[in-house]
Amino acid sequence: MTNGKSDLKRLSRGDTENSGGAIWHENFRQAINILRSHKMRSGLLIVGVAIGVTTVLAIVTVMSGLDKRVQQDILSVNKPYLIVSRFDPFAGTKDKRDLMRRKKLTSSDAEAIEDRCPTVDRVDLQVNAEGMMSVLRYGNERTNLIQVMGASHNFGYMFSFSIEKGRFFTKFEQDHKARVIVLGYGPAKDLFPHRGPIGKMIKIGTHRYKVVGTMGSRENIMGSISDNYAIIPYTIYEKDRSSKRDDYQIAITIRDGFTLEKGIEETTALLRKRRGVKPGEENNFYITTSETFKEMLGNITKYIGLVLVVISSIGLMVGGIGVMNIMLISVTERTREVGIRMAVGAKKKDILQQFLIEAVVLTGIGGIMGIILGMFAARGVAMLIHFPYSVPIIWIIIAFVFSSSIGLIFGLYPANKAAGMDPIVALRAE
Amino acid sequence: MLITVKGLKKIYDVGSQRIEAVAGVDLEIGKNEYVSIMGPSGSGKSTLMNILGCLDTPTEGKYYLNGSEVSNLDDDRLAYIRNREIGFVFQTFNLLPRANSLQNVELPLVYAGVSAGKRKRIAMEVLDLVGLVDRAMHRPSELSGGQRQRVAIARALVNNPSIILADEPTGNLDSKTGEELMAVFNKIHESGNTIIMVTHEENVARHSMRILRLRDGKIESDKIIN
Repeated sequence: MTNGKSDLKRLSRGDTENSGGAIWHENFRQAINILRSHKMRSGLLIVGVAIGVTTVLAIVTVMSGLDKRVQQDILSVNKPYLIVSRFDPFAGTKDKRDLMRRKKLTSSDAEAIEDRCPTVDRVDLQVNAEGMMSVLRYGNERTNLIQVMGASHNFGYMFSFSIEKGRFFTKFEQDHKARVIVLGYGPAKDLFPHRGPIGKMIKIGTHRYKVVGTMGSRENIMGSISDNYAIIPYTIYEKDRSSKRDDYQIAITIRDGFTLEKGIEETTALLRKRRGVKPGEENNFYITTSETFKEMLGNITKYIGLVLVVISSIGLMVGGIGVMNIMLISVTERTREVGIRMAVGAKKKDILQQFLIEAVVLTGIGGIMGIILGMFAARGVAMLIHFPYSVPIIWIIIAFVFSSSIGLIFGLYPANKAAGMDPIVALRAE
Repeated sequence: MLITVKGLKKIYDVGSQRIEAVAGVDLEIGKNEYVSIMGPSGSGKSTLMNILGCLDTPTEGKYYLNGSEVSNLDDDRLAYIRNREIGFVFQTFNLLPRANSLQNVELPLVYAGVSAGKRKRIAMEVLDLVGLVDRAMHRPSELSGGQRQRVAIARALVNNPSIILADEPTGNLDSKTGEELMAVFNKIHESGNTIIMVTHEENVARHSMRILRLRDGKIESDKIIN
């Protein structure tokens, strides 16, 4: 060892470029090391976090699927449309009587809109008596009480109900008040379990109607209720079933190249004139669009989703407490290690970083596992209740960031405890 | 002077009692000295060692290392000094149990921010110096006591510090291994390093050039022997 000192001089002086990268790398390597040497403990912790993330992600996925499903089911339309009714059905109960006294919409209103509004493409008139249910009969078969509504021939075009057998009724049938009927999936199944329904005559009360078509099942989240209906031309509805409780609504689609707003403008002007609304007075009718309806439903599912996510996040919080617990144990066990690291030059922030990385690695792995499990869980649920299955990418990112942040937040206290150690005391620890 | 200490005191308040663990020490240690600090337990040698090693700061007095005062530095600056200027060798080795020899020796370089490749090269050279290149990939549990302490010495040397501080380095070794270890220290000293060693064994202290004896926090005697 004759030139030892010069060796040493050459070794390290000037080599200390002090890049934080080396410490980062060491701390990360250390985290993996600890994870490997405490498989059971780390494994349980990871599982805890994974379960939390799974729950959150499954709920988010199901909610986003539900949202899509609701949009599809309740608003099965080919094009955006306007709905004209006497009043806002969601306005609440104030002055309901006043509202009920408003003039009903009529078929001539619908015709006028179709004829005189250039932006309007098609118009459908629907008539429906709230609470008036009927029993349909064919031979010895009978249905439960179902809703029979009147509609125009445009109904079949405007709303994307799928025709299973036969066809929707035509303008000719409508204009000639033909007693024809299109059965929803429910009554079609009830009345014709074994034979073809098309062309058969069914009875509602004393009137007989010829079945021209049946609808496919909507496999709706609302269940069979949404399949229990039958549609007849509004013209024959007015003749056979007219009642005081009838309420009309007009659905309007807009020609390509025009906006819904333009349609609202024209329709409003026309209806104000027809219904004798003086300038300055409030409309005595209500126009909404499928888009606002969609929005409203979207909001509902959004809020339900938000609440569910918050509730399931509590599970993640429990995981976070687990992280803190494990990290506290880990810090205590490794007191001497902390002392050694400090003695050879680790700063407080290096130690802090080391334990934080460890916590974040653990929860991050938990997060990734949770994301995978959550997607499977969501897929299972989706298959079970016929939801469209979709995992929003943004939520995968959120889930990962969130679970890692749990490590950061709940790891902070233990890491701080380690970083605050006195090296002399730490070095003496057993 | 490499180390200049003036009027150094470390006072602990234990309840209503004031304990002067170091009760006014003046000391100068030059480059390439080899000093043993001896004294009965409670004489303040560990406290003095901790202060010299920048693990602790004095209550009173000044400590100059390489001409700059280090007695009033904050924790981060002390960590920096420990990293660059001081190499520790402990009685209980204090190696990281999950890390192999190479990784243990690399540790000070990690906190100095040296890149991985360079770290490995330097650490291997120092392991070569203490004759443990063939044990580079072994963990402390796979090494004998003497080998562990040599890994610790390599770790102390790796950042080429101004002082090597050894606290009872042979305390956990049998006398034969202890003698072998002292040979390593002699080599390090011969190559120009400054060594300060706390020990209570006369035949260990005999290897050094100068023996400081402490009693009740004060220097009782300071003799040059070699």
